[in-house]
Amino acid sequence: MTDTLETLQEVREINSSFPYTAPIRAWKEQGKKVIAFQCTYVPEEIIYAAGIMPIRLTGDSRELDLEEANAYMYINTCSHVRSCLELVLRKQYDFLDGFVSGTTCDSSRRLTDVWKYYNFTSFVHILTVPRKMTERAHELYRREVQDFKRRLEEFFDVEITPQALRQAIKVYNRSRELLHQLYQLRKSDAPPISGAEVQEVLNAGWSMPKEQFNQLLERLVEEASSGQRAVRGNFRLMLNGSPLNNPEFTKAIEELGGLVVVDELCTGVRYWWELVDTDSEIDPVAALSRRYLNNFPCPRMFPPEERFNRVLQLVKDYRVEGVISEIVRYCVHCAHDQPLLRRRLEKQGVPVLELGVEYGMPGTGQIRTRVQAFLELLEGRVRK
Amino acid sequence: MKVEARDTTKLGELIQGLELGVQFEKSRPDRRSDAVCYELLADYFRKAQKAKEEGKYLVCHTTTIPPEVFYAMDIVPLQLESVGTLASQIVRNFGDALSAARDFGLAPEVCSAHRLLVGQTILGWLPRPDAIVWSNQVCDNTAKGGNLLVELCGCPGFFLERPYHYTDGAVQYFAQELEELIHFLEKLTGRKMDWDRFAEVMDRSRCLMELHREIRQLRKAVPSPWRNLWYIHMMGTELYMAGTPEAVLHFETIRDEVKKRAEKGEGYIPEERYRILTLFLPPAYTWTLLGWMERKHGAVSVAEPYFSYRDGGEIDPTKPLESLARKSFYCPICRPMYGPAEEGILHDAVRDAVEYKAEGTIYFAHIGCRQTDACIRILRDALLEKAGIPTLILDMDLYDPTYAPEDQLKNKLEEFFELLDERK
Repeated sequence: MTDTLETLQEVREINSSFPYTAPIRAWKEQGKKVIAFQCTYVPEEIIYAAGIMPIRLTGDSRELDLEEANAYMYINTCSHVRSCLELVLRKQYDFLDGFVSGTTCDSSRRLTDVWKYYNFTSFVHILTVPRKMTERAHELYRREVQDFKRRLEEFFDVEITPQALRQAIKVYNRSRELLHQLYQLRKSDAPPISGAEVQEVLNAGWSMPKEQFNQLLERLVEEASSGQRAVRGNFRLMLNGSPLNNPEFTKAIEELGGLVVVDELCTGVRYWWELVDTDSEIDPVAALSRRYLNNFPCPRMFPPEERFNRVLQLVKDYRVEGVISEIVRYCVHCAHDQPLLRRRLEKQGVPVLELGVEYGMPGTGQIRTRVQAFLELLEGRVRK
Repeated sequence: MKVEARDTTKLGELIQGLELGVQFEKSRPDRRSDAVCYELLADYFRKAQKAKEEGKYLVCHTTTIPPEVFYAMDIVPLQLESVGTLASQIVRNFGDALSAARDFGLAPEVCSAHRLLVGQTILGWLPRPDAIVWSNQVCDNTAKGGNLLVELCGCPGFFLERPYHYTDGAVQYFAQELEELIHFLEKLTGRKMDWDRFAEVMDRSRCLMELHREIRQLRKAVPSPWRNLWYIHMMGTELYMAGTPEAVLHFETIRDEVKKRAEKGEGYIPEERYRILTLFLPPAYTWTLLGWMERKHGAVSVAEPYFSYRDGGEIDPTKPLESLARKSFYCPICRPMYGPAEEGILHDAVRDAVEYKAEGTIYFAHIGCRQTDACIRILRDALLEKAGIPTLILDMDLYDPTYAPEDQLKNKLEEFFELLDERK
């Protein structure tokens, strides 16, 4: 790999003070509010349009001792949610003014129950997120988003105007366009950015105002498009499964010779893939709710083929030679989909490595050994 | 992967076991309701076993799908978890099924109830269904499990979706989902729904609900006229057979037994020592634990908030689908398991602890049940702060005895009873 991208230094600087990053600190110093959202089905634009900074609630991007969280949520709650809770209990999210989640999985909704009971923030909201993508489901979800908007307005005594919503959509869509451009660069034989670096970029994006992130992304895409840098690996890999925002994990895979060219993660493409319809004839709340429900589906959604087909398309578009599925223990949606997805991938001739992990786990020990063996298997296939 | 071979011998063994239970309980005058319960269960499984040869449609479904729809359409339903639960009680063959699920690729963290039913399907222990229906009313496992089953059985499936919050809009959504389920079943069977018959089924469902509430009131008596195991029996009957005359008969039999004792001021056991609030379910491999608690320690389960509460909703015969939808929001299991804790299980548990004069709580913490277990801490704190009672958390697996052997559970229970003695 050639020299590092300069923009990545900015990214690293932002991430170095996670979760209370410098951009968040600067925002709060202006007397403005910050709300954490959990899960990609929460329409951030509504929060943004209220003049509040939405940030994504994540755990630490390294494996934590979850002693405090374990006292509040049973050990069969996935370690992603317990890691988030651990940071809350350690007062690292004390700067928050509110919390919003969706009924996207048992762990997420129960975290909301715990959050509410112990009053971690005075504003707590949970949206019913349908699993189906039918017209009826869209209407249900539109009402939920509308209700969320109303609650936010009432609680924080703000008005969210249609103009503000359209502006928020514009900002967020720009972010998505830039991420599409960045990912497009990864389709080349020797992409200018590694999988681990892309994760660093996405991590920063959840901890800063979106316009600032867009500016950073503009610079990054421009710099990466210059053709000065080439990241090489022996095999083109996709990383998919449960929430993962740990660049070290991906870096370990890439150091062994894998090249992560695309992901299918809620901390990756499932977060940003679809754009919101900006047709001025469409009510912005309706446009938003439709986008969020129709976005690249989480394994929770029905029918599962919607997700499987998109995964297979990514495999084709990015010329993926092997898939590493990392499944956080007790991530039940992924666990149920995995036997079905694996069979579909293998039918297409794409080998799958399944790794049962804890959130934030480093790519060392058994993980390293298994990845090595997987890469050897891919090597063997090439030799045949 | 599609499972072709079927060997329902295990289902036959299950029916035989239940038939033996009927004979045994019939010889004991004080166990009439148990005999009724086992008889109707044996009949339930017999109907599933013989559905094909009798030319009936068989629809397998996961827990909390309202069975009234199937009975109204003369479809034989089979609740899949019921087979696993009873099989681990009577046939004790869960090990093979869990291994089959593991070999298929289902992670061990998936709830054992669902691994068991996938394993049973892979091994061909269940008759081949004409369709599978599942829903999100309990947890992520129930919401996801159907996809695998449909693929394994090679049959059509229907996913029934219920919104999280209990609002009029959500009830309408769920009623429309039920309507769509009916269309799906009409297409499957080539028969139209008989709405008059549906009204009759719903009327029996109303009777069941009223009996449930009547029993709930009778259980407030001190000493408790209640037998600990009955809540599991009632739960099974309601989940598998709501809307049938047999279910009404079962509830009436229990009501009569409870009423007789309550009116005489008698408890089910001679000496009541501890009044217990029971949260969730004891392991299916050792329900006898509940009898042991009664007989050896005088510990009576006075309320089970996950199962024994009935909200104030009513069944309106002029709006059968809306009534069924509404019922699904407030009926046992559905309300406490899929809905906000604050207005659901937390509220219900504290209210029951106070109203039923509970002295302690036993929480059966099934390692596979992420969503109920995630409430343990808030429930423990709320029960201590608002009802002044301690909680014992018993770690276990619903189906796998190797996780927590019976003796270990008994030891922990005995320590808890000592603690309750010290508090007196």
